[in-house]
Amino acid sequence: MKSTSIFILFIILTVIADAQTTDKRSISGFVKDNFGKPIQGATITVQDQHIATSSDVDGYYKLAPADLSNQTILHVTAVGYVAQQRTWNGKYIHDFQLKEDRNAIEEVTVSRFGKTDNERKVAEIKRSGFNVSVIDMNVHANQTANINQILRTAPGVTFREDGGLGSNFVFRINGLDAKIYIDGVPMDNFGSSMSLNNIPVNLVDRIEIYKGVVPAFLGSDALGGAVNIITKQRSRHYLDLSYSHGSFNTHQAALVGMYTNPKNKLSVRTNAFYNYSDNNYTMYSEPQYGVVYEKTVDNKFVPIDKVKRFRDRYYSAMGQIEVGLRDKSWADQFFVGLTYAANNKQNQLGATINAVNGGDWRASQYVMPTISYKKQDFLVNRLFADIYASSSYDVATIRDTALYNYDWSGTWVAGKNPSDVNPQQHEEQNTTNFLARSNFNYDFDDERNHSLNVNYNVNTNNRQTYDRILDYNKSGLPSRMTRHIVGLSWQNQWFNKRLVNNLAIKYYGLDTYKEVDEREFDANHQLLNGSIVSYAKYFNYQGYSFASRYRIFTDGGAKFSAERAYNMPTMNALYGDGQNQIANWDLKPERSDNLNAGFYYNTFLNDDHFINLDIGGFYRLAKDYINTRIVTVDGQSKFQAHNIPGVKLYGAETEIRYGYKDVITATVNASYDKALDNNKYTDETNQEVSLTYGYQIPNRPWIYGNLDIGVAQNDWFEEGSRTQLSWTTHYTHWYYLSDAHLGSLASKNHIPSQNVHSIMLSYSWHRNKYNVSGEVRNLTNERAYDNFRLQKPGRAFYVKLRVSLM
Amino acid sequence: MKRNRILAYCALAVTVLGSCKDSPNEPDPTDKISTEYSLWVTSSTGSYILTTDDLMKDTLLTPAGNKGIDISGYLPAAYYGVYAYNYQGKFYVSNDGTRFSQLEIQENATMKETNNYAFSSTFYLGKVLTEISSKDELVLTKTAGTYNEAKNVLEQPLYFMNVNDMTLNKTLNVDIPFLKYTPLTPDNKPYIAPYMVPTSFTVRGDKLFVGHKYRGSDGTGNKDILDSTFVYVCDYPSMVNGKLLKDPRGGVVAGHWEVNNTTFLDDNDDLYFLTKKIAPATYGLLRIKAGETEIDKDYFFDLKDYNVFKNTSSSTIQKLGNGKAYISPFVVDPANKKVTADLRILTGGAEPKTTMNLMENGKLYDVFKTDASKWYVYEYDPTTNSVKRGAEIDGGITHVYHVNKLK
Repeated sequence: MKSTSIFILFIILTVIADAQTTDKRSISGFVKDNFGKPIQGATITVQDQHIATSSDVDGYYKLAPADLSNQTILHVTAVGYVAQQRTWNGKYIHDFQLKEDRNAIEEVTVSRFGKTDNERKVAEIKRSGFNVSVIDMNVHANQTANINQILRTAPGVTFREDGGLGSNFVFRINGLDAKIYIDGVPMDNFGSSMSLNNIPVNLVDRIEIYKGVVPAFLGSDALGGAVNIITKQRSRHYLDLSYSHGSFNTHQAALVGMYTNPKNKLSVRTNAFYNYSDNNYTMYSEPQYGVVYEKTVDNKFVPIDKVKRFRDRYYSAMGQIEVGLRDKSWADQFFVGLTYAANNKQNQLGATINAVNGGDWRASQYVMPTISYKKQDFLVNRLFADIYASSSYDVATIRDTALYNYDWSGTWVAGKNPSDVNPQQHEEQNTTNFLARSNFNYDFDDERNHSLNVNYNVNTNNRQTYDRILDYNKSGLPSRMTRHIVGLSWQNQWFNKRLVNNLAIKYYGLDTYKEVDEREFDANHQLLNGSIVSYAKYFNYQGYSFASRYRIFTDGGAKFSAERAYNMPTMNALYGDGQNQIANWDLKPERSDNLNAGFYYNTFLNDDHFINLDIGGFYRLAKDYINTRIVTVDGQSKFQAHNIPGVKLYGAETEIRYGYKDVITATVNASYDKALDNNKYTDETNQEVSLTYGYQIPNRPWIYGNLDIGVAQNDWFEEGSRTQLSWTTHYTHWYYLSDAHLGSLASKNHIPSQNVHSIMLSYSWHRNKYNVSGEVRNLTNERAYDNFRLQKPGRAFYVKLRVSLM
Repeated sequence: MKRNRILAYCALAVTVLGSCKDSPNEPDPTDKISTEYSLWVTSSTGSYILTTDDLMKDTLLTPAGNKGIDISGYLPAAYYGVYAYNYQGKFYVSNDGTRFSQLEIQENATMKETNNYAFSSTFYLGKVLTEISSKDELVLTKTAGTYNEAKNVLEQPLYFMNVNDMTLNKTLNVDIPFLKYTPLTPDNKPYIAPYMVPTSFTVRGDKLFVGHKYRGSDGTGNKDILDSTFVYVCDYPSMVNGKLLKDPRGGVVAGHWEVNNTTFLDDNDDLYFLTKKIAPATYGLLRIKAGETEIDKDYFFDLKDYNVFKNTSSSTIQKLGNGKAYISPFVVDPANKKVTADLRILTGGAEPKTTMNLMENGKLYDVFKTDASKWYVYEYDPTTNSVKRGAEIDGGITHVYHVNKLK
């Protein structure tokens, strides 16, 4: 581990040294608004020369004028902003800060001409009827964080994990199981090495969080919400390299690089990350919350004040390279790629803390070739095609080599008899996955007043499980799952784009198949009875949705959406993961009828202050709500997905954001999220009313909120530097672990209210080229829990170095 | 100035968040609950102890409205009520594989672990030997013994647990001989991995009687096999001079390895075994007369015409006095081979639903569910052969595992 860290540091320092040279033939810089937010699509021209460029998603531009003199004038224009001009004055770096043009603000019209795909998508999101919030991950680039830590600060989002880096998690939006996508591709497809809790922030440009109705182009069985992670993609040279080190022997490194040959448009993109942590943090007994860690002394369980997690190491690594062409007559983008990922995760705990594993781990290796194609004016004018296909192969090894369980003191607990040892486990799961996604969007006119979008997504998983210790001929039977999702949507704009609607229908098909060895053998391996039996199920459903946004005034409007949608079970939910989750073949797809409404308002005061207000509410009626329960198998606690026949969910959330120039930002949000048991009768004759009918489903957070304050100072020590201090607080209100109204309150266990504060200080110089930051997470060492007795890491310190070369 | 004001507002917001309470409001601890009687009930999502000072009071017992005690935190699953036992007002629960807890109901409506014993390997409470248990010592077994292949026996420990400090006073082991042959299915194929389940332990004088049955799989899952009554008899406490008794008339010894008893001694010290035919699942009684160690060849009380244990897979048999016993839902006179009462008729058609019923002052307390899905405690008085309806239990529950006296 130490040698790896030194190597990464060496790379960073080498890049820093190389980066000191300045390109004297071109002018470059950033175009930002008054609040420091990059302005994408600003046009930068050199007066009297036919040279122009536009700023990218970072607000970055680069020009190479033919002639430069002190009289050379640079012009910057951007829709909705007051134009600026400046003489060259001998400086090769020119940053612009444009003020909003309050008289000119109108709905940004996104022409299909001359816009990048990224711009087009951002604008689509802005004007759509979908309830979507976008997190700019570049703001968080200096944090030692994975996506989950940022994502959980969004209103309506809960992210429950059972430990430190790489731990298992449950992610929900407004109470429902949300689907996660990477660049529009379902994350299920990426294997266990890519998940919300191991992708570093540096790989990501932005995160789109959809609540309620999900756009058809995210063609999957999302229900109630989705997250689309947009990775960094630039059409210019770009390199971002970061490394962080911190508590619990945590190392994280990330690399993003892009190169495009300006002549032949050959483009190469690469992403990579590496994560390592011992996760050996301290957990404390808190008897008032029912949290007591114990060890065994003389056949008694006796409490321990504090324990350290052990044998919970985690590492993951991923490398991805894509090579392709841009801006060709036959393709806007055509890339082929290869992703390789690997991880190794020790599994200290099952579903509870009752059994402490000493030799349980899971490792996986994953390879995925991909091909993607994007083209505007595909075959006919105004038809946009986005086609993606991948095939992946994942080999997961699940082993438990410990003969005994451990107690929390870290010592193993022997059985009474020498023969009382745990069975050894060595299982191998080989999973092949094929995904094809095609999306076609046709605009009926240049103003995009009417558009049709059709999306087809097919995803096949085929798993074969081999027991490497037992059952010489019981291995290798297939489990399969194929999902077909077809979506057709019509987007329309009315009243000069004040009203935007999106109507969609969706078809869901789920094909499941498994073979079970029901043969029985005698001691001589002679067949006694039974056979290999095949089981198959097919589900198909139709869903529909309507999303609408009405702009009431320039900076404010209302949104409404309604849908009937389905969520298909995952492979692990149906077939188990071979480790902590056991199979539930009887699991049914979850259906939900959803209503969402929201109001947004943005305003500016004296050009220096902005205030954003978002208020939203939701109502959902879910049938066969998929939840997780703990079951005991051979004395071991495991997770199992199961259906709750009926659940009613409703809630509201609000977020207020304030900014003062590019100096102060403050965000506060609060979410209220109720889920009630909506299944009235427990018997077929409708005589027995369930004790829990109409009451809240326990063991889930229902009030939570976040506070984020940032203060910055520009140009300390040197011009182009930025010092930033940010403070975040995440609040979760207490909740009961069992039904709140049943049994005395004194007899109930609960997760206490928690305030987790974190603070970060970063310093960037050379206009964000070099960054160093220090971070303290959980500053007050709060006892933080998502799951009962599973305390999350306490106070932790991190340092991060980052180089970002444009 | 503006910046300072903004920062002050932010600090205020942090303070407001920080001042939120850590925990929900709990009731005044002086709000005491009754600790006379309890019912261990389950719903689809949890397990609860409902207490009352009078089982016959016309009242509704319910966990709703924050009544009773939530014990879900002590149990990995609701059905673990069958691995729990109430002894002298305290609960003994085997709840996570190795932990054996002594729990006591507190007046502030909580259940508190007062002591525990950590078994070194998997332990779930099996049978309690009430005949030899005392105020300070609980004699118990675990559900599954250990098969010793070399000796071809099931090694089944008897634990003598000191309930004052939850230590083991001693452990005795009984070796129950296993079959010397591989049993065959009706198709003459060997059963797969046959195993033994002790279903009753009774000490009578200087003898230990272990009723047991065999199970195995014919390829479609484990099931009872060998439709005969097997009883192992040996000297107690030396555990020597053992012999195996077998009788084909009644089927296997009824019940399973969980705590409820299906064996009883009558007033004459005759030992009765409830038996069950594998197919059809009809019940009967066999007897080992007082002072003898052989099954009484002249006695078999066939209960095939009675729906014994209907709606309860197995329920504890209670001795009612005057030679009578309660084998839910019937009152039987085993010596005279008579069924003297059907409590379903006496209760107006209700069905018994309890695993562990209660005897107090010569009266039986059991829980029945009516046709209208109402649950009631009923008191049966053997002297008058009549029932009285007592407290109602919330119809939203799914099972009543125990009716217990706490004091």
